[in-house]
Amino acid sequence: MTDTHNTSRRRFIRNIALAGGAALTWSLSGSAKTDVFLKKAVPSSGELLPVIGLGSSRTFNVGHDKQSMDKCASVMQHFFEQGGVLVDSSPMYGSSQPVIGYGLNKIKQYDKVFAADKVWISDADDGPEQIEQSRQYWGVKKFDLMQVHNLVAWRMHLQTLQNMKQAGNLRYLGITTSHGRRHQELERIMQQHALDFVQLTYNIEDREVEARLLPIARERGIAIIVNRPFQRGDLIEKLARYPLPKWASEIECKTWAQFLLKYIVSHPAVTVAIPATTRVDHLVENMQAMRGPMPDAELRKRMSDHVEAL
Amino acid sequence: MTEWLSYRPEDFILFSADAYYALFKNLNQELWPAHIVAIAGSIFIVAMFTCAKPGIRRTIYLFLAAAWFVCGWYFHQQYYQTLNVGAVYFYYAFALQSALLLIPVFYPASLSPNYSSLRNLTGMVLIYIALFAYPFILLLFGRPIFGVELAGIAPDPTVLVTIGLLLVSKGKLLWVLLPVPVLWILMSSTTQWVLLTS
Repeated sequence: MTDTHNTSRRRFIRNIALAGGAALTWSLSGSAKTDVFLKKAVPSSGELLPVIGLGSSRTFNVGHDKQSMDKCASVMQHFFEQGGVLVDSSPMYGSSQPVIGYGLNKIKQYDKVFAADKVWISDADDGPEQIEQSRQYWGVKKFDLMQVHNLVAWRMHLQTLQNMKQAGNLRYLGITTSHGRRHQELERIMQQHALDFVQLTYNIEDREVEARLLPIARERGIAIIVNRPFQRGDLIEKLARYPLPKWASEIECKTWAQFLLKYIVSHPAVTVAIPATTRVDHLVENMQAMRGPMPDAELRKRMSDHVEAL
Repeated sequence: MTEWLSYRPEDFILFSADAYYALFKNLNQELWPAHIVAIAGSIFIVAMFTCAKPGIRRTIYLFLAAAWFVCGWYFHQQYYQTLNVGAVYFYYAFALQSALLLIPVFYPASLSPNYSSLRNLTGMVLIYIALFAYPFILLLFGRPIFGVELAGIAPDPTVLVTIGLLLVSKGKLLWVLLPVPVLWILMSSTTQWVLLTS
């Protein structure tokens, strides 16, 4: 027991030392229990962010249904209690932005949230108006991060975001893609423009970004947000048919969700993964993935080989 | 160009089945007791849809035009748009169809009853299914009673009744009145398929 614990601890510490910009954070809860979880630095500022964030695509798009909105607020409450900060949304996600605003207002956690949203409108002249509308939905003073959604009208929007950042109305700017689309164009943008964040799809099956985009992000000092960590649930559904390998306990994974998330956030270039959920039990399960030992390169290879073989 | 081939219907449906079905529960709560008018209109349609009298046919198409407008304004514009930003275009399409359905109200001769047996039978079956079977089918699939979809309130049964009525009619105007309902049925079927399978 002690040996296993020490091995895990050594692996954990070694891995953290290997991952540049990563840090462990100890926090004290009300009951004075020590909580340790992994944060990684935003390269452009050094600000540390917990490696698990909260996505809102589909899950927070619940319209005006009060019962569902309260459920989302409860998920947010537990997310912050578990140490999370980064919440991500987009005008594309229907009612997700007002639902986040409802949740923030209900649980009064404006001081904790790292508000990440997107601008998604083909006429770039309407970008500032859309961003302001989004800000009002969230009820925040300003966004921490604004991203150009799926490269839509990205040249003009990036200019708008740069202006906002210079004026002090925005802390970080970025650009997003998903489902592995338009990677060549994204690569050019990452090489040629000053970006704080890039959001892209990366998971144990969709690993194309490991070849070019993630190395470029490290080289250029760009933080990476990972969307679709579970392929919108398809990966979890597929893997649920198989038992978790026994060696997953080396990195304290008790579920496939934790296994998949640890694989993602242990990549040195990845800053935050943003799984989305409507369930508190799933949220708590996901948040455990930023605690305990992280896989090193050797174990990451074993993890991807294992999933490929299933 | 090939990027578009990588998109799947689920990439555009960014909400869950529960969220979609909750729309009908909230819509029904808001519109009650308009359901009484909708049911009365449905009974009138069933009783009279083969009638050739211009006055009766005018009333039927007027009811349908109002039903399309209600579905467009309340369902698409007020409710569905909260989940799907593209629903505003469905509202425009439903408003257009509502306006088009006023043509046979003002010019009843533009559509006349069709007595072709196969088309008539198909149309009748569609009307009966939409008005009477559809809500109960939803209940069998676990939809709560307050979340059922009624013709005149919810789009799918309204559109099915419209297609049924057009099938039991004839005239060149059919080519103007059929495209929107058919496109909506394709759109709605795809949505339901994605919601049930993902």
